This record gives sequence, structure tokens and C-alpha cells, in this order.
Amino acid sequence: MLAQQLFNGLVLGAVYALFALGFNLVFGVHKIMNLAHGAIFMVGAFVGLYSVTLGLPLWAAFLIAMVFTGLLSVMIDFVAFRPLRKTGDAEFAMLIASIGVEMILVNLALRASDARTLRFPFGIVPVEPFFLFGMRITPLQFVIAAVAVLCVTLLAFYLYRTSFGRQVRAVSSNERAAMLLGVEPRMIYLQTFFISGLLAGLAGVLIGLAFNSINFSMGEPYLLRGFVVLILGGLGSLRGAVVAGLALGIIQTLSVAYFPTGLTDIIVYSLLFAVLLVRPNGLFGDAVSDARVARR
Amino acid sequence: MRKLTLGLAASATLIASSSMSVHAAEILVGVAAELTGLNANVGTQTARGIEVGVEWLNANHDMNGNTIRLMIEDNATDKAQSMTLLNKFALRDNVHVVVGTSSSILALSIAPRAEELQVPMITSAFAPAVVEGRKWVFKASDTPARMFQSIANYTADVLKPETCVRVYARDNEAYVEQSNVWARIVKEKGVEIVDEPSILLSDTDFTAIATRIVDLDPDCLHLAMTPETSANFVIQTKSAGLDPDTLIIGGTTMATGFFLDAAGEAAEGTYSLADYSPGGINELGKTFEAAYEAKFGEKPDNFSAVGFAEALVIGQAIKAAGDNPTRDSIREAMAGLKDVETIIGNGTLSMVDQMAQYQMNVLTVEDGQLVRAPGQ
Repeated sequence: MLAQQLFNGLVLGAVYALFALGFNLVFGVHKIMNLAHGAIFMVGAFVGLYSVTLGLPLWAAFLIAMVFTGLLSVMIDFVAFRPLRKTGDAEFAMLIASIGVEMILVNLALRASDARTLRFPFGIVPVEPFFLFGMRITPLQFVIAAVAVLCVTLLAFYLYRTSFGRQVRAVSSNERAAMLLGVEPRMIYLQTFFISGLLAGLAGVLIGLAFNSINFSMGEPYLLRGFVVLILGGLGSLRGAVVAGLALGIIQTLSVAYFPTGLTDIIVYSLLFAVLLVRPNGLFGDAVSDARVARR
Repeated sequence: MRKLTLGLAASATLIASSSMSVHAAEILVGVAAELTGLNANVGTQTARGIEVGVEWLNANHDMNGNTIRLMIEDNATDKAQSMTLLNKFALRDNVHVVVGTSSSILALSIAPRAEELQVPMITSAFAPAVVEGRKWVFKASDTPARMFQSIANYTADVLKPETCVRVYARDNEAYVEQSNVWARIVKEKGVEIVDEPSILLSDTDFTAIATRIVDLDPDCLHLAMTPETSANFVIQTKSAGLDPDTLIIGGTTMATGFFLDAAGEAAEGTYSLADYSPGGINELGKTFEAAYEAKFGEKPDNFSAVGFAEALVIGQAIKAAGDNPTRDSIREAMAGLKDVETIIGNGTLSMVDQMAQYQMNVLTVEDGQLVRAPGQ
């Protein structure tokens, strides 16, 4: 059972990492704690579901959901964050604005779904498991793990191997200096919010498929876990988000498997406190986070 | 003389008819239902059942010439909104009866106010505490101990598993109680509970618990959680490799269309507990099904039937309250209802300690349909 539970934990961790990547990207680059990220994730699941309901193939549903949530995220930046940024020191105001956006999106979804839990049609993805080293693995679990690896690789490539990535890191490090060097910060905001929303939409559709459940409040538990991943991995650290996501998934799964289930949250949050006592900036957090490294 | 007799007869008829019109009244019933929010799946169906029930009462049932005017409003599965509605119904609309919430948490929060306002309130909520120490509050269902006796006895006496795992939603008092009652009874009958993990209703990933259960290979799995969560749990446990022979048993939430829709093929062969037996236990049940289907274009579920039964209780209480029913006379009549015809249980119910008492039914899923389980 241990191997199976470790695999279950890795898949759950991959889900957390996928969710936290976009959340952390916006915080790492722009220092915005976007608490609407869970709602964007939920919108992604709904858009994916409605696309499939309209008769579109699953790959198209993924694409539409990702583009939709990417654009939604950009729109949120335009409407809720940008006007506040202009006022100068507005971190707290942006936090409150993100809560407002979250509530609007959740209530719209509540109305649209009539508060019901929805699901993708049966048979849309193969469910027959295959066996590997005695473990029972469903195709979807495999896809989730693969997608997480792919997203991390692509995001790392984007940030560290492209000209756009250099500009993102320059803005993250010092927006004013980057402007003097000819970087247009508005384009950077647009890019990071789009990528963050895109990742949230992707995660939303995957979770909706994997756990057979789409509802207006589905983003809340993931937002809480995403927050833990963010703190545990180190604010703004992409490596931290991946490692902390996987660690959280494994710890949570093993605590469910081997301890009374009511203790899971106590174990997870006690470990969080313990890590923070030893490393107050998280596992990979220090004065300069990954996204803000000037050059690699 | 003949003219005088005719005149007297005409006068008597006039007096009688005017007397009837004095006594016949419009009885106001306010329903604070969960039409949106977390419990909308239960509240919507219950409210629909009440609506069909009141239409049937007004058309067919003698309530001493009285008719019921129904006001259904949405409590949004929210305590404050439920309280606002109760106050509005009792103080502004001056209703005779309030049909309280389906959720125990909400019912518990508004019951003291109903008592204070001295307005009869009937609720389909699960928790018996809602009526304890009160005389104005009624429960449309039995105590958990008596309700869950049926499925616990059926599990131990008919299905006869040796080992079971029970899983319950630890963040909902009603589900914890359901699971405890079931476990206590089956344990007394010799069934061994080998594990009792719990979940949160907001959880969606059950792979870790599912693997833990599969590893134990129990003869039965008992679930106490919402319809959608039950469906999700059953699917994920089967996907994790649960033995197809493992019996899956649940409560009233699994005797619903929501569960069947969400679980799909995984629902096949599961056992659940229901107030209502699909198809109707009697002629009134069949009438209810036909009326419900004609009005809403779908078959009623267990919660709709409970709503209809709540309406019947109110109708019977109005009838028993005599001429010019008041809140007080309706309350008194409701408390004394005995062997009233209904569509739930085995067709009759009595009000005992302000709680409706009737025999519950065990259902199973065959070819995607809920049917009465054999051997009862």
C-alpha cells in the first residue's frame, strides 16, 4: 500500500504544484497576493465543462478553458489591480480587491450552476487502470503528473531562457530600472497574468475530470493549500512551489493513509509551523526569489 | 304555509352559507427553503413536494372548507436569511404555519425564535434537538435512532456482512449521527467495524482513503455524506480497486436522483435508506408521483416526497383544528396527529413527541432505478 499511497501523494502534489505555479508567479513578479486565483481555477473547470456539453472535443475544451481563464486573469488585472497600482503602495488594497473579485466570480458560478455539483460526462476519459510495479494507475493520474512536469519545464524555460523571461525578471527585480532599460511593464503584467490564469484554467479542468466534481466552491480548498505551498516553498520561488506542492501532497496522503483522518490538517499545519520556525522564508525563499534573479 | 316553509328553508340556507363563509379561511403557510446555496439540492426538491402537496390539498382534501395559500422563499442555505424569513412570515405576513428549513443547522438556529413568536414550525431537518424543550416546533421525520434502525437491521440481518468500513462527513452533525447510529446497531448484531475514516464535505480527492479501504477488503462500506460526495466517493473507491462484491450502503442522500446521476454505473447495487418508496406505497403515493411529474417534468425523489408529506401533516392539522383555525389550535392538532395517511414509510404516520414516526424503507439500485430492496 505504501507505494500506491506515495504515488497518490505525488499526483495530489502535482495538482497543488500546478495550482500554486500561477499563484506564485503573480506574487513573485508583482507582489500581488491574488486571492481570486481559486475562483479563476473554478471558472476554468466550468468553461471546460460547458465546452464539452456543447459537443466540443476534450482537447478543445482544455484550450478554450485555458484561453478564457488567461484572458479573465488579464481582465482582472486591468479592472481590479491596475487602477490601484497607480496609487502607489496598494498591496493591501489589491488583496482586498482580489477577495472582491473572488466573491463575484463564485456567486456568478453559484447562480449559473444553481448551486449544484456538476461533472463531466462519463466515458470522456479512459478510466481503466493499468498496473505498474504493483501500483494501480489511472490514465488521468498519469496525465496530471505529466502535465505538471511539462508546465514546470515550460515555465522555467520561459523565465530563464527567453528574452520575455528576462524582461519579466527585470520588472520583478526593479520595475523602474527595467523601464529605463526599455522594458514595457504593462506587457509584463499582461503576460504574467495571462500565464497565471492559463495555468489555473488547466488545473481546473484537470481536477474537474480527475475528481468528478465541479462546483462554485471548488477553488476554496485549493486556494488554502496553494497558500500553504506558497509559504512553505518560499514566496515567489517557482522551485519552492513545485517541491512544496509535492511534499504537501505526499504528507497529506500519508497522514490520511496511516493516521486517523481527522488529524490530517493538524499534521499538515504543524509541519508548516515547524518548517517556518527553522526557515522563516520557506524552503527556498530568501531575500531574492527565483523570479527576481537578474541573470542566470 | 307552503310559502312560509320555503321562506324559512331559503333563510336557513342563506344563514348556513353565510356561516360557512365566516368559517372558511385562507390559511397562510410560509416556506423558508434552501433554493440556493449548499443545501439547494435538498431544499429545492422539498419545496417542490410541498407545492404539489398544497395543490392537492386545496383541490381534494376537506380542510373544513379552508384553503392554503403558500409562500415559498429562498433562505439561501444561510442562517441570517432563514431568521429574516421566519420573522417576516410570522410578524408581517402573519402566517399560520412556517415550514422550516431542511438543514439541521439552519433549523436549530431558527427554532428558538419560532418558539418565541409562538408560530407552529414544521421542519424536515434531521437533528432531534430541533424539537427538544419546545412545543411550537415539529419534525417531519423520526429520530435518527429509529430512522436508521431499518437500514442497520437490514445490513446485519439480510445482507449479513462480517466486516465493514464506515466513512462519514465529520463537518456535519447529522452525518456523524447517522453513521454512529448505524454503527452502534450493526456492532450489537456482531458486525465488525474495521475502520472509520472521515472526510470533509468540501473534499473531492478521496484516493488516499479509497486505497486504505481497498487494502482492508471489507464486506461492506457505509457512507454518510451528501449525494454528490457519496457518488464521488463510490466512483473513486471502485476506481481504486474495491472488490465488486463489497456492499455499499448509505443513508437517505443515496436514495436520490442526484446520487444516481452523479454516480452513474457505480451506483448499481448500492443500498440506501428512504422515507419514500419509488412508485408509491399506496394510491396517494401514485397520485403524488403523477402530479409531481406533470408539474415538474421529472420523477420526484425522496426529499420531494418528504415535502409532500409535510404538506399532508399541515392539511391534517388544519382539518383537526376545527373551525377558524388559529396558530394555537393548529399546533395542538398537529401534536395529536395519529395514524394519518401519508406517502412515506408504510403509508401512515403519527406524531410522537412532536416528531413524525413511521417505518423507513430500504432501497437498492437496479438498472439505474431505485427499487425497494428485497427481504424487508
